[in-house]
Amino acid sequence: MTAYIIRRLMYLAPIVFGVLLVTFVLFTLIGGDISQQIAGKHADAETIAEIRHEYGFDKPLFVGHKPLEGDEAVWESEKEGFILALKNERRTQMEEKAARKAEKSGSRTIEPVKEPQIAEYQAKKEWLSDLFWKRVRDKQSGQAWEMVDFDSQFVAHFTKAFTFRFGRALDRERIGEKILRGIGPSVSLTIPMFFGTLIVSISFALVVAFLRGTVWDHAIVILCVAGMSLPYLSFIIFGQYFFAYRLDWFPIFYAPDQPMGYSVVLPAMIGMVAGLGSNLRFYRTIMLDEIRNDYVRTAFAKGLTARRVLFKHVLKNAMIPIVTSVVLSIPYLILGSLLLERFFGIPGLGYLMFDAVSSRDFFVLNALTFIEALLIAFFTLVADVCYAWVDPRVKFD
Amino acid sequence: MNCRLFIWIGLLPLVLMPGCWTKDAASDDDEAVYRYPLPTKVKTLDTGNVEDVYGMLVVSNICESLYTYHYLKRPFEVIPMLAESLPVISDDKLTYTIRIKQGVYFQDDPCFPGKKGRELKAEDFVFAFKRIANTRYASVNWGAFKDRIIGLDDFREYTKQFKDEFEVDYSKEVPGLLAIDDYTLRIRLVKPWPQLVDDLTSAITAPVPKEAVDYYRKDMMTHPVGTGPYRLKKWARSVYLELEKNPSFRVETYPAEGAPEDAAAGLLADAGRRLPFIDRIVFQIIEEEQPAWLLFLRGDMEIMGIPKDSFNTAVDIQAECPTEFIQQRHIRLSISDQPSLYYIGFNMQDPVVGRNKPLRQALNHAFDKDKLNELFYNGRWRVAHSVMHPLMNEYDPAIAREPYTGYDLQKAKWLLAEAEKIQGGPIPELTVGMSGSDPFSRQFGQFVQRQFESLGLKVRMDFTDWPTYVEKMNKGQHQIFGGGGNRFSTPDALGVLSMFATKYFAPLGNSFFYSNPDYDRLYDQAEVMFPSPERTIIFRQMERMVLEDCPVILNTQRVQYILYHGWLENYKPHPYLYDIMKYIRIDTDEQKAYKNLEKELKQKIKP
Repeated sequence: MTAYIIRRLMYLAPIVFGVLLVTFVLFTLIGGDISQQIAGKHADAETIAEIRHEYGFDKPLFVGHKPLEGDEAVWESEKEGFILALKNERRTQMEEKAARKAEKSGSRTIEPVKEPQIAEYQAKKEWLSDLFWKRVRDKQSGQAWEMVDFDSQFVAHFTKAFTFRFGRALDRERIGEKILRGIGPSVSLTIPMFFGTLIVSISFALVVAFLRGTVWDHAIVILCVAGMSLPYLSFIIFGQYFFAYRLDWFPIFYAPDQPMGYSVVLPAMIGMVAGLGSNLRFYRTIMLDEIRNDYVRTAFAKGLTARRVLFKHVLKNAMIPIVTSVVLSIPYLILGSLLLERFFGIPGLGYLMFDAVSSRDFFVLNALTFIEALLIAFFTLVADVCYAWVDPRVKFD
Repeated sequence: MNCRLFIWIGLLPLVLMPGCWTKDAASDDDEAVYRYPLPTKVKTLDTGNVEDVYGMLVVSNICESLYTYHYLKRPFEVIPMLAESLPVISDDKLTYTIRIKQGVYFQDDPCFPGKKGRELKAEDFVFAFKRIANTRYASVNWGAFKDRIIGLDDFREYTKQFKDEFEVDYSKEVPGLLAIDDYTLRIRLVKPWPQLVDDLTSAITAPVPKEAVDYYRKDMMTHPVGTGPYRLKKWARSVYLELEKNPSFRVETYPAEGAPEDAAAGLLADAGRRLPFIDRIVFQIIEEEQPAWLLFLRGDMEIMGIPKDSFNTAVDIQAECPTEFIQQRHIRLSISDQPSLYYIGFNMQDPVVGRNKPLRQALNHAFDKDKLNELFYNGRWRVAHSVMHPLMNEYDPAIAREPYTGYDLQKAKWLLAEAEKIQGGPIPELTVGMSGSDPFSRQFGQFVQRQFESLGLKVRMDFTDWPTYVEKMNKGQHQIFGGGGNRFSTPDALGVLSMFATKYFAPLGNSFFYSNPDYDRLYDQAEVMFPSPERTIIFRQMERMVLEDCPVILNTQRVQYILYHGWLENYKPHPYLYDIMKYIRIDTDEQKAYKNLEKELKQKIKP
């Protein structure tokens, strides 16, 4: 089992690398430079440049070239010589091409060659590249290595993730502080919500499975489908209006001067009710699969009570899918609930995520995505290990 | 056994939470708390970098500026706040000498020796202005100071040599910005700046103690240190901000004069009483409208704007008064103009729309602004007829009767025929850039598209995110674009007219890239003129030039509908003043009685 766990942990490395690569492509390459957004609509170029520097947007994407050390004049003259040679080379190539074209078409006049359009930037790049390889050939690889600038956005992206120092968000607050502060409220909402849903749906599923085919079974299945069909938002809007405002049983919104527990009761209950339909149907299917087995008939034939058969034998044997579902849900519990947190003002990670999406705060989104990916990868491993705990037939080879 | 385990795990977080079932502990307290819902989070409380309305709303209660507007008087009148009097202006209008009040102290803060706030000095203003000029500080407000004060632009150049904002030596003298002594500030200008006193009412020009910047450095954004009536008690980012009374606030009293109707409205009842009245201000960030509305109805918020979906519940738009539902709760309605402008802009550098005036005019006359107002703003906003707002002194009411902005499809079609002659054929497909892709932006975009298509034109909508939209606008890559906002922070109309001057091409404000040498000449002339009948004539000339050339289709101007509870006294909206909370008083007895009233009224609602 230890070897299995080690092997699985090693699989995490390419997964994490892949996640970081995808987040880099999504948030840095596609997301683009958001310095204008930070600087405001009418900011001047200098302010934008300063903000680009502060957030590292002025760094090369992958690798860059450091300024050359040594005599600047020598380097400059060498560079100019190189660019000139490159231009001449291009001119010769183009003249030859034009001559070939004229010959092919049988024309007597050769089209004059325009000045080769070599951008200064391109030429500089080629010169640096040439210099780099020349140095490598000259066995001065150490020096060549120094020329490469690894202080890039790509390297910074990985460094931030591995050190868990995610830097500052768009509002210039430290992302680490934001995340740590959000975990508590999120968990205090999602844990009661999750376990409440779990207990109620498993209990009902057992009963419904036991009463399969009866009017009760049909009624509950219809209710489940109806519950699943209603948008999540309608549960929130109705619950908030009716239970918090009309009946005044719960706070409408998170009150800063009240304990968090007081504010999460209603959203947790709404979350439970909204999630009940799909959960109950899922567990009902599992229970039905189990309840049709021979050992259940045997247990009833031996005279065991329905309660004992259901809760002791059936439930125990249905634990594999339940454990999988529970363990794989843990990362999402930490991440909170986007809509519930926003509507009830619970300052958790769901709210933070929603806020980051709406304000295009890629720094926060990046950090949350990375953490979530790590949690999912880790809890998938935990779920696999848990199989052995609940089902002795499972072996790790 | 498994079942029991699950039950305990499920209940554990609830059991562990102390005081889980205690309710409304603060309601017995007699202290006056003003609770205000903020629809979006506040980014920063650092005055040098604050730019958004909500940031200003909070920080203006903590940090004061040299001048302010009189709370009650209309038309708007500038009065001293931290200054002792209005500035002494030299004959050439280039030197401002400002005396600062003595005995004004910064709030107590750990950044000061012994945590005791020190006295305000003229040097604190000099430091604050230089800090905004510091390139490494990257202030979003630098544009307000650029090319204005002698030596300040050179100071900005000087700061470029440093890598960090804190390395800059602030003792380097700026000739145009001098603290003559502890209580005298002298500002020398490159050219006359008639809006300077208006601009000095903004919290971005508030004094900043250098000790605070040295102490908090980058965290200055969460630790504002000012001289205002309130100080920051707690800021739970993205959740709420709490301000408490500043015990060292100087003696300031409620105004004894106001507009003619103010005495009858009871707005002068507290004249001469010491400010502020309210003990605490709680800004709660509530981004969804339903919870904010329900909290307000339950009496847990003192004031709020009306959500679009609840507008008919709250306001009888025909009678312009609150509905019975609102009146039963003794809630009051305030309707006030907001100095704003929303428009559809043309890129004047575009080869199709930029060179074809009849085309722009045709699109202008094909755009039904009344319908837009009805459809998107419940018909409660103002249809714009001028780039200037009716709250501005130079606004000409006759402009609405002139044939610039009216909806006239026949005229539009005739103009389109002219436009096609210039184009030399049918008008190619037009592209309209819009920021955002949320349902409102989509609906708005569809409306714009349908208006233009009514002329038989082919129109494509380009919905982009905000940064892309701004980038395209600043680079002149939009052909036509939707824009606007609450962009006028002072009653002076020069700000809005600058949107059409060549020297303010985007990103500085002229996103239309409108360039008219006659307009520029008049702008340069008017820019250095103080308010006068001559200046008003020039402003109106410029306004008509813009309307004639039509670089913009004017849509609407915001009218603010605010509901506030009957226990809130002295409330009078002011479009340019953010720190009105110090004038407001709460009748706590009436506030408590509301809970019972609301309970009774709720019982009457049929399920």
